[in-house]
Amino acid sequence: MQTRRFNREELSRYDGKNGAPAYIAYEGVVYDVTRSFLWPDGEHQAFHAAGADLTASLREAPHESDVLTQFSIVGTLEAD
Amino acid sequence: MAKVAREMVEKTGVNVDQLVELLVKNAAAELTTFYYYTILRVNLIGLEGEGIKEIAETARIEDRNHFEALVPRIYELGGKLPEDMKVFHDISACPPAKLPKDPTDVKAMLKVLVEAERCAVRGYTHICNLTAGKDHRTYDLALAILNEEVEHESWFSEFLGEGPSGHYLRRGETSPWVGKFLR
Repeated sequence: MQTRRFNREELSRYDGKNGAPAYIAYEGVVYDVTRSFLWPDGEHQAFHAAGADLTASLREAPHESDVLTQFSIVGTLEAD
Repeated sequence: MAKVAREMVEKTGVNVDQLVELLVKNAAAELTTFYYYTILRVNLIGLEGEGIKEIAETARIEDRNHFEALVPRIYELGGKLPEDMKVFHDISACPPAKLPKDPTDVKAMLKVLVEAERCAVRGYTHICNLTAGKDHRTYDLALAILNEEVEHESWFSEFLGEGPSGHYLRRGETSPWVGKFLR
């Protein structure tokens, strides 16, 4: 299956606002969290927003990265 | 709003608006959990279900107490609860603890209960981490709630066969940690 490659600017458009899907990146992989109860309007627990690389944030989170396995992968994030 | 109380927290560098939003989301999680646990409790029947009913009931009442204890701090810091209950439900910090498709499946029921408690443990750990050494009152409250949520998790975890927790059931009054915020 062909995987879409995102740069940070493209990823930022998927912020979950105004009907846009909500995508987040973690360790180079882009996940679709649009339908998650915990990501209403592209926001998560008041401190995190979709459309961004959350690798650093997730390392500080009170949960492991395996929570992402429930979300579909929509692509990869280009390295800076 | 407690103006100086808010200023003191702001001076420590905590984003108070974000913190308040997080407190509201957790208050929503507590009240909605109280509601969903009510449904779980009434369905905990039969030889297996009755054994779990008591701890589910204690957790249910204590989650309502957590909601009651969070509300004053939200308003002290300049926040407020949403006027619309539907909005409040949908901003909850934890997913709904819904009745399993088969309400006679006690193990499925326990999984719903333990996952709800684990979400709460993560949430209050996060709030403690954000406020430690900065917002003493919110930290004290979040820590008190965390202590009770950890016990709830351990009760349900034991029934799932995940090993002994070392905790005992309540003897008498509920909310031994959070009670001081309710008096």
